[in-house]
Amino acid sequence: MIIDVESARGLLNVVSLLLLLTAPASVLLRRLGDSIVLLAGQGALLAAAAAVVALATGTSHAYVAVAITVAIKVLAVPGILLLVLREVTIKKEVEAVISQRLALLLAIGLVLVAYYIAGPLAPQEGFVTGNSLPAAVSMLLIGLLNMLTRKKAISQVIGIVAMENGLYLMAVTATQGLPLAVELGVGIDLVVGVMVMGFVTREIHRTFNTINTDRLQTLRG
Amino acid sequence: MNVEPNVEPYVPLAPVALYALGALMALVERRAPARMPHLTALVASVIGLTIAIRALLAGTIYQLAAFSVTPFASISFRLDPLSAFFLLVISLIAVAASLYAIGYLGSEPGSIAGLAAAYNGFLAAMVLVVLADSVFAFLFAWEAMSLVSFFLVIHKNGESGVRRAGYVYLVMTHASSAFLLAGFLLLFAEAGSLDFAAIRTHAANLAPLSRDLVFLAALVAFGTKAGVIPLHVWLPRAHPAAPSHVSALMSGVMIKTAIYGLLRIGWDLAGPGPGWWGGLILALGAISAVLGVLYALMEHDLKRLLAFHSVENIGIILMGLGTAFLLASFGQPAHAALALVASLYHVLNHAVFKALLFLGAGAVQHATHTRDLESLGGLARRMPWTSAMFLIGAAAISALPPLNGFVSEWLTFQSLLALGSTAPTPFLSIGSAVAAGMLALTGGLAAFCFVKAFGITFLGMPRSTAAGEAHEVGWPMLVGMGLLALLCFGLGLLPTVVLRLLASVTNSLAGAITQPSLGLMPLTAPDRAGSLAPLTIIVLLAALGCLALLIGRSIGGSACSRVAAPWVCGNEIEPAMQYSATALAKPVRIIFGGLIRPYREIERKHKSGIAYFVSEVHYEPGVHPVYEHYLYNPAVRALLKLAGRIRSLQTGSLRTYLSYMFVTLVVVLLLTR
Repeated sequence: MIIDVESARGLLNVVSLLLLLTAPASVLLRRLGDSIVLLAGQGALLAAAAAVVALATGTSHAYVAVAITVAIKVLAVPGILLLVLREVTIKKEVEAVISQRLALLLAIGLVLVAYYIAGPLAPQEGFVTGNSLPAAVSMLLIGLLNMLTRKKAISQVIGIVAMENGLYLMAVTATQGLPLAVELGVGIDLVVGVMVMGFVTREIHRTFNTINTDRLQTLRG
Repeated sequence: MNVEPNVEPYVPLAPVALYALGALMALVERRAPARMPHLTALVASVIGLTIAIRALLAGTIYQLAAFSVTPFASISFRLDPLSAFFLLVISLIAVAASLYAIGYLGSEPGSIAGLAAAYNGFLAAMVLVVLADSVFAFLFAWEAMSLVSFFLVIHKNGESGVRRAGYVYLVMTHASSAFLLAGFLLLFAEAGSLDFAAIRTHAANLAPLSRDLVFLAALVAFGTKAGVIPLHVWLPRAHPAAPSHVSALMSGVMIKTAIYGLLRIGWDLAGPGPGWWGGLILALGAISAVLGVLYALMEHDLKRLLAFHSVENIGIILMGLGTAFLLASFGQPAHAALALVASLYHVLNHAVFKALLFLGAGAVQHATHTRDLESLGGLARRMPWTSAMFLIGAAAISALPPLNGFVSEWLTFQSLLALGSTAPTPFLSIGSAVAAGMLALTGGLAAFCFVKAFGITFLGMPRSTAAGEAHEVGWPMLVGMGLLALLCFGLGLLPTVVLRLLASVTNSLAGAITQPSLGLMPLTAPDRAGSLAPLTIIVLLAALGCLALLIGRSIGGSACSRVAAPWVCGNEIEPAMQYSATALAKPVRIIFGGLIRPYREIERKHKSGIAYFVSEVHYEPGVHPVYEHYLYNPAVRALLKLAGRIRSLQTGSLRTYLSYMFVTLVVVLLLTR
């Protein structure tokens, strides 16, 4: 144990608040490339959270978890998404169905909802701080909000990765480090899922020459 | 329960393993001649036959291999007298069909390898159905049987109507599986286990309502598979579509697995039940028998005609079965055993003669490339062996002594009379008399129908050049048919042998045995209500025949017979002067028109437009599709309407679906706070 639990809690609180800020920030980004970079940033923050847990518990698998987080959430997933983005779009802008201001308002509302729901839930012990659970729930809800307000298929993939990041924050803080098997399983799940979704996005683009999901409505019989 | 140790439990599964080997051989070595997989099937069916006869004579129950996949899904097999009897039926027909297939397949278009593999798989699945001893094993085998037979039906999928037939078959068979599953789940709810043994012990505690529901579900499920009217619509389409040796198996054997299922669930597992079960089976059987033979009379496609006769014969089998259920519910085990014997005997007989007839129809199709009666004729001279064997089959299905159909229909009559004399209510007595009358009507109409089928196909002059150029088929096909023709005689002349085989079945189900008595092999119904001695009958028939011949010779002598062409007003004799199949059945079409709803389309072409000079008449007879029109089409329309309603929920917009999830998530989170 390199750092004690109390300072670990302090550090995790800071990381959680930073992650909480990334959630409404994702609504404001106009370019798809920036959204993906933001995902990598979230990944880095999650890796930091995992590192704090590793330093505080000192178990070896927690260090492996940090490495996995860096490899998957910072490098692999954003990398795949950038590759897909380069192949499928000419216009790099996010296309949303609601205005940016309304989206920001909704996002702030969702953060309040998250605090309202998850604030009282958090047991004030271990690594769970007053902010980590609400931050995780807001990432989840805002990720879903982004999925349903944006038109391009790749935004849905970005949204689901953001939701997954929220879940991961919850897992890291609440469980003092996941078992290695679960960690690996979740990681591989994510990479494979993003690869498949990226591939499907590319195929949609190849077939319809657009990745606007509105066109999928014509598939209805 | 007599449980045999060690190696024995696996022996009855040997045929299944051999069939699987045959299927593998066909698939791996696709270029190899079709002979090998069918030879394997032949060996496997001979082994199956031996096992079945041994088990029936011993009368013991063999608990076979059991595998536990999960605690829920145990796969276990058991050979009891009832399974052994159906194993006997399957194996017997498989022997003949495999022999026949060796000669037949040379002419079949399409992938022979796939057909041979599916043929082996079909046999394996049917054997597994009758050996299954747990719900999981039964459903697995049942579904495998349905799917493989579907592939066999659509083997000639290039022909018009075959794909449609396959589709109708697939839909009906899946609907039947759904009912089957519902019935099993009801039994599971009470027994708490999916093993037949556990269900058998717990089913007595079942509430009457759920027992009735189990029975009704089983009746719909197995009735569909058996082709009971009005659930028969798939049968006359699917059976003719398959290659002939497969049609023989489907009509002769596969629909009998439904009888097995009804006995297994309705009698063995859920108990014989109240009287109305038997009454319902009896009524359905009587309706199927009469209507089946009437529809057969309207057909002029040889294989479709035979398929409708399967509906008729399933009806006769169900009449025996329903009588057995009724008698068992009145506590009349001896009479119930007689009715069971009648029903199971007819299962065996129908398997034999229907397989023979389908193989004969296949030989005709093989030689002439048509199944349309109106373009056949005169084949008796060109295919003497085939026609002789078809005639034996036709006489057997028409219940003429001394052939096998007569014995089982006589037994069915006896059991109906026994029901009439022991029934507690006059309503039932009258009902059984009516049923006996319907059975008699069925027998008469069946004979009429086979006068038409045999006469138009084999007698007279050929109605097409293809029929005129037909040649006799090869010896493997003839051997396959000959085996069944001999069985038609054997089963008709030696009923006591069959009764000995059936004794352990009736003993385990009804708790009584129909005792065969020896002598000139008479067959006696309980209470000595009637007795039958087939050997005496044949001796008498032979004696009467000789007597008639002698009298004829002594009065006329051979000198007064003269061979000459018939007088046709001085014209040349033409094939079109003969009776057509449609014309021969015309009296029946008129008399029973109200029941079968026939129609005809007549199109006249006039010479140079003058109404008085008709140059050509086109006559197209047919039968209104009553069941499709009043039962199936409304059901399909209602289903599509419902689906349309549900579809309006589906916007197809990704965002709408995501919004459903989002709103649900937030609301649930807020509610659970």
